[in-house]
Amino acid sequence: MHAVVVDKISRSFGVNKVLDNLSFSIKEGSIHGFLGPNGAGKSTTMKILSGLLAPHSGEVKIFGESLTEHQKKVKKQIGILPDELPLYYDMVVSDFLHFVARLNGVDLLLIEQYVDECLKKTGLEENRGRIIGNLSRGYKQRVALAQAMVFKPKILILDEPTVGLDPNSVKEIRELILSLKKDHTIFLSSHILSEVSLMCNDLTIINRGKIMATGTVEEIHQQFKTKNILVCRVHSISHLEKIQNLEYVNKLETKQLSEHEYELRVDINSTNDMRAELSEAIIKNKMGLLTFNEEKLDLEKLFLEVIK
Amino acid sequence: MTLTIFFNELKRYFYSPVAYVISAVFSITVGWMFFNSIIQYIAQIQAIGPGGEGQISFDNIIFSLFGNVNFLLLFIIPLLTMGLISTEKKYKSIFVLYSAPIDDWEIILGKYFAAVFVALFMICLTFIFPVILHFAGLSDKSFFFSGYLALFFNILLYTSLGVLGSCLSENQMVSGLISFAMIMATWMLSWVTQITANYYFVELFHYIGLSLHFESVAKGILNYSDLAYYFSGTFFALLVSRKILNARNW
Ligand SMILES: Nc1ncnc2c1ncn2[C@@H]1O[C@H](COP(=O)(O)OP(=O)(O)OP(=O)(O)O)[C@@H](O)[C@H]1O
Ligand SMILES: [Mg+2]
Repeated sequence: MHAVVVDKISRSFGVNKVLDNLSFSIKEGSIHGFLGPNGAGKSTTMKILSGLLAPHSGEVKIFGESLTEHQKKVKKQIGILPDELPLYYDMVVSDFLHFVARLNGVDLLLIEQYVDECLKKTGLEENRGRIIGNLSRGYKQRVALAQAMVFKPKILILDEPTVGLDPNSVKEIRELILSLKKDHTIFLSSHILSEVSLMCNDLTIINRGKIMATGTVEEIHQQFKTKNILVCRVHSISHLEKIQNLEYVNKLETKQLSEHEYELRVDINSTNDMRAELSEAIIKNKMGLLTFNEEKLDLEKLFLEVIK
Repeated sequence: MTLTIFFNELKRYFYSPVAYVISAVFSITVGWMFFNSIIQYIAQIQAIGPGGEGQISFDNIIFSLFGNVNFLLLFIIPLLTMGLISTEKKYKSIFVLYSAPIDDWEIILGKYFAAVFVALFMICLTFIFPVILHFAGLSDKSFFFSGYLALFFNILLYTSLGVLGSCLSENQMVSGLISFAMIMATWMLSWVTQITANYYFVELFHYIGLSLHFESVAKGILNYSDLAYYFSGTFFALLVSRKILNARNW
């Protein structure tokens, strides 16, 4: 089941076409990462998904229902943390969350409980009585996150949720987001690739308003893999030239890790899966195979590859 | 949800100094004007000599009082309404409202009624003057009902224009000036009648202008045409505001 289906949306600002026929979907219960360089149109897309901005063409469906046709029903299921913090700087934190919960139709009897829960989750309990404008940047960010989730929407759209937080808070917020996965679908944009690879199962990458890749992290990796590199550790390199001379080996790099441990980076010259062949060759040559891996999935390289 | 927005907006008015400062300035100014008309009244009586009380009525004081309050509203209402939508757009808190499952009507009306409420609160501060006049021996009080009713209608109309101005810019200064210009325009339109002799123009601008309606309500003559004028004007301004809010194309 898809929580969100984006169907060919476009949007311009003046003559500047910011989104161009964007289509992708977000699976229910997943954490879906959204990547792209500055100005790619991530924030714009996220605003459109939550009804803050109207698309010029195309359609957004939330749980199968059109966002524009069933606004009232659909918006209740979406909480958004936009890139610009949506805060009333003259209001007290808990009053503000009350207001947001009420606006989103939380029952009067439940509001107190929802707000308390949310304050606890976002680590704002001690600041509940303070004026938002007087909080530090990181705490404002937390209040903005709190207003997105206080009414327990099924879908959370988070535009760079950890920006402006200290390392400890970043960790806390990441853990919070992971814990939210239980009962929310999360769509998350970020520039911190390690964050995305840590949290997300699915990924969409855009550049200049166009989709570059979308799918699970593995799928995208397969799709954009240009180099097929196998990394293995061996006991000795006495018969190295035999490996070197295999017809499917392009290049071979060795690195001595300790007296009896070497790392080999084998560049395979085809995209076919050569793991079986290579490992057999190493064993046959009695090199003492210790570990054997495909090169680790490196999101940074992948990202640069995709937006090239 | 209109109520939720209404109460939230009221809270923000009264938690901030805005409502108090404006109210204070308003009541001090009205008090000063009232005091001056009394002095004038006394001076006029003294000029006529003994027995003059009968010849000059209190009406002048009352009319000048309402006229003055109305004049102040020209400035006060734009001050009160200029931030309603514009600052929300500027500081992006409007996103909270946009992402909520509510109609744009509810946003406009919630804010509109909050501003009307604050304006009426200020008007209530002037209730002291009729009380003073009562103790000074004023017998006919119907003037006050019609005078306050006319002010009430004016507030409804001015505030709607204020909300409209606030929708038109992200800069509250600009919003305030636009609102002020629009409210002034409702008065100045009737002046057009002085530069043209064309019967239809004169009639048309007389009707579009506010002064005809204000005077007729203030004198206690409440026509359907006056009611229609006030309510259609207010409704139209709010309708346009909602349209602007609904466009979301900035
Ligand atoms: N309100 C606006 N008016 C005009 N242009 C806009 C507006 N909002 C966004 N843009 C333009 O749209 C493009 C995409 O902006 P957007 O904020 O969506 O990028 P982004 O992917 O979120 O970038 P970043 O990684 O820097 O947050 C930019 O070129 C930006 O200048
Ligand atoms: Mg952005």
